[in-house]
Amino acid sequence: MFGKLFLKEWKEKISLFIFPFIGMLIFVVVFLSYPSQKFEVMEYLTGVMLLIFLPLTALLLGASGFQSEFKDGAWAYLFSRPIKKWKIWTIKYFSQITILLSILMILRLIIFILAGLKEGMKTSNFYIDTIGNTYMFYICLLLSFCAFTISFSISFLYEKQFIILLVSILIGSGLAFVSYKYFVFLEPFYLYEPGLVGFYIFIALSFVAASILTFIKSDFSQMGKRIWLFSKFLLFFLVISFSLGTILALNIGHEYISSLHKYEGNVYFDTDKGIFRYVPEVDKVERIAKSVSIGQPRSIRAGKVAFIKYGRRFENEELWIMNTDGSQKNCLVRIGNVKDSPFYDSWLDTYILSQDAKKIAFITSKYDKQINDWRSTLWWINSDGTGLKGKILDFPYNAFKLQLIAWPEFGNSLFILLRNYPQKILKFNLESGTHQLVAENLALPLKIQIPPTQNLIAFLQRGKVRQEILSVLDLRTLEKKEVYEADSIDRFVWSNNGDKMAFLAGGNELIVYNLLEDSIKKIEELNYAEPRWYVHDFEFVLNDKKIVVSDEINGEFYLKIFGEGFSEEKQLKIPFHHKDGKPYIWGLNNIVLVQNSEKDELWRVNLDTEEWRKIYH
Amino acid sequence: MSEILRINNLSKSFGRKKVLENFNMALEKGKVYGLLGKNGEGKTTLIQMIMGIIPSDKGEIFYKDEKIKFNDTSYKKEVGYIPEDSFFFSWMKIKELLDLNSSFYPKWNSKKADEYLERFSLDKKMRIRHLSRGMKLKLGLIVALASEPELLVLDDPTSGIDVPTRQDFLKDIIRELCEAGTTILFSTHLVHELERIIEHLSILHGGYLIIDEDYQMVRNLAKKVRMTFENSTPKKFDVEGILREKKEGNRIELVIYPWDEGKKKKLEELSPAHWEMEPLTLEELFVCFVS
Repeated sequence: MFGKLFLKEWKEKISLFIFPFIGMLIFVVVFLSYPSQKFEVMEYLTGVMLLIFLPLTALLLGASGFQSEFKDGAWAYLFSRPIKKWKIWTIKYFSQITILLSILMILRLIIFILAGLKEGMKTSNFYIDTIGNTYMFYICLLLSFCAFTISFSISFLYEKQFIILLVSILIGSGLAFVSYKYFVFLEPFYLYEPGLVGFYIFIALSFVAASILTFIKSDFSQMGKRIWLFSKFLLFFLVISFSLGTILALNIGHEYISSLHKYEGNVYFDTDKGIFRYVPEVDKVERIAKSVSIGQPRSIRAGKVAFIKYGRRFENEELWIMNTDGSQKNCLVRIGNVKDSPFYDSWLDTYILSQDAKKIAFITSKYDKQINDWRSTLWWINSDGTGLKGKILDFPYNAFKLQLIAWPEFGNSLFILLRNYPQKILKFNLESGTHQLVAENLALPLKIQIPPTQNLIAFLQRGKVRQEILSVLDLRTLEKKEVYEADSIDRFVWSNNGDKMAFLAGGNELIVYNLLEDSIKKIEELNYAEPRWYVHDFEFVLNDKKIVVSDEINGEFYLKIFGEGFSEEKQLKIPFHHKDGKPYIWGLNNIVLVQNSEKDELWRVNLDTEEWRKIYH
Repeated sequence: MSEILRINNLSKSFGRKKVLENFNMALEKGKVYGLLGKNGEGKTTLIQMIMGIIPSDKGEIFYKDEKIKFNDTSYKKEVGYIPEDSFFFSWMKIKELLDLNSSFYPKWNSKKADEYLERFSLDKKMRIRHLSRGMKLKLGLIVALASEPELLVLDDPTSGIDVPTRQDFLKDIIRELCEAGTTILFSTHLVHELERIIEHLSILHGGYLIIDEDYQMVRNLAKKVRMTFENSTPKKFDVEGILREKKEGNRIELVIYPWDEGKKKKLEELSPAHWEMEPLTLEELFVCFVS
């Protein structure tokens, strides 16, 4: 019976292939007519086929779902047969889904063939990538599935196919818009796309459930009652869908750990659920703030944390301050959409607390139509929200390229990193508003390290011939010392009291520089990292007397501990495999935190007891 | 004789219009039931509820003593149905339609279907959209009978069909009836068609069955009495069950149901000059009952 009904649906709908066939024919003609170099045309054309034409075909197919029953008046015939109504519905649905998938596959095949016919595989690869990349293809699949499901689900409610089409488009796009807005409300900065996809699928399934139940229970002689019953069921299932979608968005969604750094023996890190703090003394992870903008480097000084929060209400960024335990939260400024604010229509990218945490400085940028360029302004405000002051930065770099890197306790000056090439470090005097170049020709902007004492900056500079020079700048005297020169210096970290620095030179040499003695000591030649950027991570531990290094040996990952005199003491096997190179580590006296970025987990190991434990996932 | 179908207190409304109210009916196995009623009385509604096409508002339907719910389908394997308009999928060929139906009914008899096709001169390869109304009716009959049903429900299938085809159709039903002992529920407003075939008469009027009796008994108990009086006709007749009274000068015609000897005596006491009595046709009966 299933086979015969399935076949019946295919035979009935075969004529619908005309529409996609004509569309594909036009596509083929246009595609072959344009020269290969017209990438944009090819890309738009493929996009139109996948993102507009196919979903439209799906809509038409769905809307014609029960057309023959209406046209031929075959309802009574069908319902008088000894076949359950839900079977009628599902056989129709799945048979027509297979029709849709067939059309999709034929189109995909045509695109592949056309791409191959075009002269030069290098151009055709672009189009293969466009759809073979499958991102656009999966979007097409999702759109088509949702469009078809919605229109099919309501196609038995009314006989006029045009009305069904129109209603499907209205309801479908309306729900898509509402659910997108709702989803953004739940996940304001990191849009976890699979979560949104899940939302859309739940909504489509709501239509399925409402449609099947209405089909089974309704009186087909009374259209009004049928539509009313469907509306009630749909509302019920949409409520469930939104609830499930909310759970998905808030709990099952992606949560990754980022922006870890140490402060006074604790580690602070972000996930898209908020700011967390790990306190080794009590071995506890606690959330100290909800909802932060991911990717913003945080500022922690003198028992205070400054952080950015995305303001849902005004769709802007908010600069907040709180104690390191999460208490006494205070919003200092709102940046973005508040019209009568000095920060209206501005962007914020960098901020820093003063050493005593009594002030906070931040830079905003705004597009200035008069100069046809971005204009940056440096602001500073007291931590209680009073005394806002600002100064336009007259060097022509937008805020995205600026980073506040240090605000030492002396001199009332800030140090700003200019990220655009060639990278520079400027000293900006808050009183006079003047700036002074203190370092230039930096190798890479990410390689800036500032010790907890905030009196030095370590950075890399380019040498004359492809070398990298590790330099240290004294922020008080502005004297610069070149510490080491090598073909490459891949990582460097300060000790906790700022008197030593460990760095990796030449890809495998672990070296310690003692600032007080002005001495260099080579610790060990580690294994070369493959690929190059999977470099070792290392940290000073146990009152800066030891160094811990993450390393890979024969496919297994270890922590190597270099003890007194920095000779290797022992190896601790890391209890997980890490595909993306050596895991990052943070040293907290006798505790080392190890991040498993593949699974977004944080592990801790006690160097004395060698006990491993997962503390966050 | 056992019941094949029983309907208890069935009610159905469409909006404010009550079509059936506390409707009761029972069909015994092997009998031919005629269901008569004017247009819009609810015959099709009743049949569609029996066939599970539309739900009832209230009441129960039992098939072979088992209660059937709105979405039950197992009993439909034993029930054949020919609606007033045989709507099939017009794009199909006859063969495709029969193939499709064969998958629904476990007792489907393909050989019988082929025999009927030949008898009705229908070509398997013909498309349904090319069939005339009479041909569609015959196809509907084939579909219904090839499933070898125990209950055959016909909802005014011959309406709008020409007389020769209609009579040919009725002959075929009678033949199937005799051979298979199938219970038949034949609903129509074309009364005279049923006269030769029905065994049980049910008349639906105002949402109820006003008659639900053995047909011969109804015929025997329904009389048309014509009386002629010398002087004026009596103003009143002290007789119960007068369905119709027609006066013409000093002549009067009464239709009385149910007739008995007591009523005869009472009329005779009125001393009519002339007295005639005859049975009614089904059509006359129907008109009298529903008027």
